[in-house]
Amino acid sequence: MDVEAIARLKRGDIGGLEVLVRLYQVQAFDAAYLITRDRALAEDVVQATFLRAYERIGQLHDARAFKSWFLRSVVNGALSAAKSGARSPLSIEARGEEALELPTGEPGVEEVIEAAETREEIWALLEALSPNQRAAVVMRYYFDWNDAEVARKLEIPPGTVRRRLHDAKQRLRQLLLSRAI
Amino acid sequence: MSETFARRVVREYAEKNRPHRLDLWPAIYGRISLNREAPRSQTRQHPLSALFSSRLGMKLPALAGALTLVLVTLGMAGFLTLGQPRAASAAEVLARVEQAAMGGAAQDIRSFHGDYTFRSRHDANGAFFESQRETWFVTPDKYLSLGTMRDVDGREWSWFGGTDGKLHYNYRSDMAQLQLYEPLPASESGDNRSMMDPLQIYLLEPSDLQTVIEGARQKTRPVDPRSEPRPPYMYDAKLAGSDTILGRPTYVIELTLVPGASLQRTGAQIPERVKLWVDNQIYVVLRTEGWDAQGRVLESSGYTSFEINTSVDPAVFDFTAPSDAAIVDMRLADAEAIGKGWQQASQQAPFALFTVAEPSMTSLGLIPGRPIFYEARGTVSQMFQAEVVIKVPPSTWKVRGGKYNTGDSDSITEVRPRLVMVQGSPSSISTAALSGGKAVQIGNITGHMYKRDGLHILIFDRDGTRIMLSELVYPGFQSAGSLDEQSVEALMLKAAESLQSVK
Repeated sequence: MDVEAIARLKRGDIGGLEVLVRLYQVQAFDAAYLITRDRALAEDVVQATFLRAYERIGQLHDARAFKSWFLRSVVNGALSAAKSGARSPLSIEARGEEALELPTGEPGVEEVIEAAETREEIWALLEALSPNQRAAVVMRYYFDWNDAEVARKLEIPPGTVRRRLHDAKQRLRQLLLSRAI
Repeated sequence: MSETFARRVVREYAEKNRPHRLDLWPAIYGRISLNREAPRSQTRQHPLSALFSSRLGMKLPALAGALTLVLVTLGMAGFLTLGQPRAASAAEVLARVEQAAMGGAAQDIRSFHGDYTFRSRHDANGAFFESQRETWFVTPDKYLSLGTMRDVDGREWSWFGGTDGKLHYNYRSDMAQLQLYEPLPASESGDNRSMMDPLQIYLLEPSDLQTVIEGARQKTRPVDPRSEPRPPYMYDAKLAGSDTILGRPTYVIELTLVPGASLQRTGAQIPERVKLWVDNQIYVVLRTEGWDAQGRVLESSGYTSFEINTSVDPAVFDFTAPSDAAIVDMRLADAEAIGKGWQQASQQAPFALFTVAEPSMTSLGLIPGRPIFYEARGTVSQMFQAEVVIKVPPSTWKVRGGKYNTGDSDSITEVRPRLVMVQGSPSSISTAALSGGKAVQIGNITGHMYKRDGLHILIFDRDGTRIMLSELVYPGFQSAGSLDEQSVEALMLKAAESLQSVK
């Protein structure tokens, strides 16, 4: 369906763009919101990314690559929006919890998180991650891209991806434990 | 936290925060319609009526959606009332030139006849390259172009190419060779008008025009350097007024090279100042002029006659082979093998030892006009980009395979050698040139490596499919041409062996 829609768009038929919007708006919005935590900002990021795709569709030589290219652009756009202060995330650093040390012998992160009483609590903790960490979480757990793919799309080393995910998990654990205190 | 649990939590979180009825299209379409006037082909195609007919029968949209719909309607109504495109900014005109060149203008053109000339100063000594062309086409499948060229050494030759809907052909007098192909394939949607587009002129001739316009567009739109490379130079663009060329109203765009932006390439072919005359209805570039820093004309091109949607004598497209031509029949004998080759290619891609770029078009979307098709008619199934980066030192930058694609560089240029792989049936890829080549061993298969127009080509057969690897020459400077002989051969053998090792 992408291929046909993009062929239409390249011929100047804007109906092709509508097809692409219908196909990817949910995924794109979800990703943008997960990173920005702001519905209006997320909508704006997604709209802007579709407009940019509309303008640049001629540079896309392989229509099958559209989804990956587009979603990566959404993530980058959302990251920029989040970092630009459009809505500053409530960072852990700002709350002075960065230095929280976990004593050895504590339960594993899996047990701690999966044992959380409510999803809402975890969701609230997700919001405390930095934009970079949330982007890594989105690409890894929402888009199901593997570490290598995430690294390529964010143009960072795979080790950095793994570190961000690891840090994200660690921070979740720290926050869960701190709340339990 | 397990992977499964993490996915579930993230998705539930996304669903929780997603608007109940997410529909971004009205707002996006509104922004397109209101912020920039839609190209004519779009407004004709965009189903405003469908917007009403399909939605009025449904429940009323939310207030925001309704407001957007009203704005869209007002914007469209204003546009339709105007009838003609509004005066535009340089950025808008250039954007439409790009869009038209992608095939958008073809939807406005049912027939075309025109004469086109191109003249470019080749070097500082004042030698000029010249070409003329006369072209006809009638949609959907009739096309003919006749041309002459005079190179900087004064050598002249002629060529023609076209299709009558049943046969596609190319002829060059200097080679006295006529190549026959099946008609150009339809695009994926079954509409091949865009492939008959006279705007290939914009894409292919003069070769620098596309780069110039891209350079100008970098200044007129936001660029994400993570998703596209910047061109080696940029232009400031301004709308300088209007003019009439061959009776057609045009926008006049003036481009000025951004100081310091041409550091990566300062060959004689880069104009400091460019003037474009752009048809204000179909956005074809009707005329160009370019000057160097001293104000001397560097290149000029344009139509000397231009007619669209007028009657064309069908006899123009009657095909007769020149009596002196050696005929090379490239028509595919086995379409099924091509499809099979395509499937094999996608299976092999993950195993290739090179960075694999996806093919730019599908198996039925062959790109005409590139050097590779001198030899083959098959599926462009892979492009290989070597992992190595070749650093070309200053002043030695040179592209093999194109006598006039030469130039100088005052800085180090980095290129990644590229190979293209074409697969087809054994009869679809010529082996006529093999007599001059040499046998090379690829695992337990013997292949043939030879050179054509300065480019290495390697052919071998595998499982009934003929595979051809060739150095790739782009209209620009990216090619494998900067590698030495041994390196090119080694790269090609490595690529071939990686393919051979896949079972």
